[in-house]
Parts: sequence; C-alpha cells; structure tokens
Amino acid sequence: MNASLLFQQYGNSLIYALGTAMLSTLVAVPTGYAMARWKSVWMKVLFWCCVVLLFLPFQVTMLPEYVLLDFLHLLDTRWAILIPGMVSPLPILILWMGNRQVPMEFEDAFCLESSSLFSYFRFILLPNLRGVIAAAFSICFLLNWNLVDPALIFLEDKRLWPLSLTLLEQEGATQLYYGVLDMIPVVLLLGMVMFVMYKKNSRSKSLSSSHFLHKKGNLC
Amino acid sequence: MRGKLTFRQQMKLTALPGMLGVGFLYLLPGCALFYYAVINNVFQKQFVGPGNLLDILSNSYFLLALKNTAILLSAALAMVLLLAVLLVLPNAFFGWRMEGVAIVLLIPLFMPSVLSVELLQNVGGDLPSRLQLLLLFVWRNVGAILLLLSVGLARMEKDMLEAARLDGANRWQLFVYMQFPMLTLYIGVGAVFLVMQFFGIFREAYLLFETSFPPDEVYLLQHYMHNHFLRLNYPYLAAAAILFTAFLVVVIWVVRVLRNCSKITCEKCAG
Repeated sequence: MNASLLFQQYGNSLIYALGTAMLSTLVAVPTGYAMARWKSVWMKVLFWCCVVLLFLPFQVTMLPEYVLLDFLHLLDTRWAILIPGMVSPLPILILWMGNRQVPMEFEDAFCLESSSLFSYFRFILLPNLRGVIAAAFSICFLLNWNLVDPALIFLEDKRLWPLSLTLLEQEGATQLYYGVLDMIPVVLLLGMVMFVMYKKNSRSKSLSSSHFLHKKGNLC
Repeated sequence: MRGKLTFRQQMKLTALPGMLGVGFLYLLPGCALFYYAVINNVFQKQFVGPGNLLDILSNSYFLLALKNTAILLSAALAMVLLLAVLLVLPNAFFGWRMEGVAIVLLIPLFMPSVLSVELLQNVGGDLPSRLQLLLLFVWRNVGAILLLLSVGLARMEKDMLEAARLDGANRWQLFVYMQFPMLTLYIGVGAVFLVMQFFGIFREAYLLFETSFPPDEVYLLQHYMHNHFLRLNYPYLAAAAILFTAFLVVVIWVVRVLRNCSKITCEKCAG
C-alpha cells in the first residue's frame, strides 16, 4: 500500500473518531441537561430509548441505518459513519448523570438574575461539567478510533476506510508498523488522562496540607 | 417579556437535539424492521405475517447462536468480574491503589483489535475457539472494571471502616461484610458495561476467525444477523433484530421492577 493512501486512511480514522466524539458530545450536553431537569413523559421515553440503544449491538441497528443512509444517498461517504455516530446513547447518559450532580440551587439562584439559558450554560453549567464533558468526549473518541463493523458495511471505497479496517489486510511487520501508528493517539489521550489525574491529586494534596497548616495556625 | 422565551421553555428546547436525533436516526428507520419482518423477501415483497419470526425460532442456526450467546455472555461476565475483584483485593486489604496498573490494563481496550487478536493468536492460538474468544474479552475489559472498582473503594467512607477495625474486625471481615457489599453497586455498573461490550464482540470474533462464519461453538447472534444481511435476507435479519430488542426490553424491565421491589423492601425495613 502506498504512503499517501496510508495517510489518507489515518486522516479518515481521525475524522471519524474526532467527528463523532465532537458531534455526539455537542448533542449530549443539552440533551443530558434536559433529561436531568425536565420531568416529563417525553424525557422518560428518551431515557429508556437511550438505555435500550446502549445495549443493542450494531448488527441490530445496521439495517435501519443502512435504509436511512441509502435513502439519503450517503452510503460510501464519510457521512455514513459521522451521521449515525452523531447521536450516541453513551455520552447522553454520561451527561445525564453529570447534570444530576449539579445542585438545583445553582439554577434557582441564576434564575433570580437572568432568564438566559445560554448564559446559564456558559457561566454555570459548562464550567461545572468540564470533567464530565471531557470524559464523555474521550470515551467516544477511544471507542470510535477502533471502528470496524460500520466501516465494513457502509464503506466500499478503500480511500474512505479507517486505519483499523486496513490493518486487517496487512501482515507481519507492516501490520505491526500500522498498529503502532494506530496506537499513537490512544497512548497520547491516555497519557493526558493520567497527567490530569496526577495534577488533580497533587493539587488536592497541596490543598489539604495547606488546610492542615491553616488549621494548625488557628490552633496556635 | 412578550415574545421572549422563559427559562423553563428554553430548558425544554434543549431536549430537541436528542429527541430529533433518536427519532430520525433510530426510531423512524427502525420502523423498516417491522416492514421487512413481515415480507417474504426483498424482491417479491409478499406479506407473510409472523412467518419469519416463527421460521427463525425453529431455525437450528438461530438456536445455536442464541445458546452460544447466552453461554459466552455468562462466562465472560463471571470471568471478568471475578478477576477484577481478585485484582482489587490488594487495594482493599493493604490500600495499594495501583492506578497505574489499572491504566496499563486499560490499554488493551483501546488498542487496535487486530493487534490484540494477533497477540492472542501468538500466545494461545492452539486453544479451543470458545476459550480464545473469552480470553480476548477478559484481557480487553478487565482493566476498565478494575478501575471502576478502585474508584468505588476510594469513595467509601474511611471512618466507618476505621470504626469497624477498632471494634476488632480483621481485614478479611472488613472486606466480606463491609467493602464487598458496598462495591456491589459498582459491580452492577461494571456488569452493564460488560454486557454492552459483549454485544460488540463481533469485531474481535470476525478478526480472530477471519470470517463471519466461525466454528459452531462461537457462532453468535451477531454472526447470524451479519450473515443474513450479506445474503440480502433482510426479513430474517429484521425478525431476529426485533426478537433481540424485545428480549432486551423485557430484561431491562424485569431488572427495573426487581430494583424497585428491593427499594420498597429496604424502605419498609428502615421504617
């Protein structure tokens, strides 16, 4: 396989993983908020739809997705991966859980000052949910980086394949070389997660020690 | 204020992306399943009613796939959860947090499936196919469950454990009577994650046996549906997908009812 095709497929992997992670997180942020705050039958239906969809294997949703993509003439295009991945039940449920942890008092206090939901999202909710959003994004990215089944069904053109599917056709040293290339973003992302965890731990340790010194000072 | 949406109205609008997405991407195209499930084939399109459902329920390959899925799912769940509980014991007994170990064990979950399959074939290529698939599943998922259980242990109230220790409980008693019962919630979440992962195991099975027609002992429902899709046998695929979804909905509903019952019992006990 020539180098240009390899880089094209590497780019495809990045487009699919980053694209689906970004789109699904963008959809999940407002939906998770609505599911946590709006007590209605619609939200219950949406919640249970997400729970059932979470467990369904791709082979069950494959035919409906195929019919839809065929109807929209999107088969064998990058949108065939991005559009079904846009609404993913996992980030919606993660954001729903995250939103349930945000105290209602924040919203009540904000409503006394303003009635703009956009401002509430910008100044209160999103800063509080930063970690949850990052977790949802990372999980989506990592799960979509290793894409095989949808690409096998919806994409025939090899120039549109992700690297994970191309790896199948390689053998020996070439496969190992491609595998190592494929691992780079995963290692980078996991490294970032470890770094953030380490920084958080060291910050909480320094905070607790300063708190201890403060208390000690008060006692003195 | 006329013409301006209230906060509550704006809040309701935030549900739109999710509702439209689920509706247009899953529910509406999902109706196609009901159409395909009641026609004889994609060319003649004659109405056959529940004929396809009855056909697949008496089909030997569907029954084999169902049996294998049930066996492998229960074995995979038991193996991963048991191993994760064993690996979390040093943390529970001696307080070794081993976050690094959990992160390293997490790497197989996100490494290319092809590479993990190659590694397994190099190490245990002669093993029976069912064991190969199970080992691959355990290797890829144990890290995530270990991380989850470690988080569960870290979140436990230390004062309560300290009080029990002062009352004379040894490490084993602390684990069996206090830490393990408190970890059951995390084990439940882990089981949910594993079920989700198991239904995505087609990818690994496809790579491991390099075909969607694997040996009989690892022929899963996912293979059954995939192969019918490739043969353009949409009616059987649709019927199998409807059966699968209906079974899943019933299981989720039963779990929910049982959970509610146990909650009511607990409240009565507390009352």
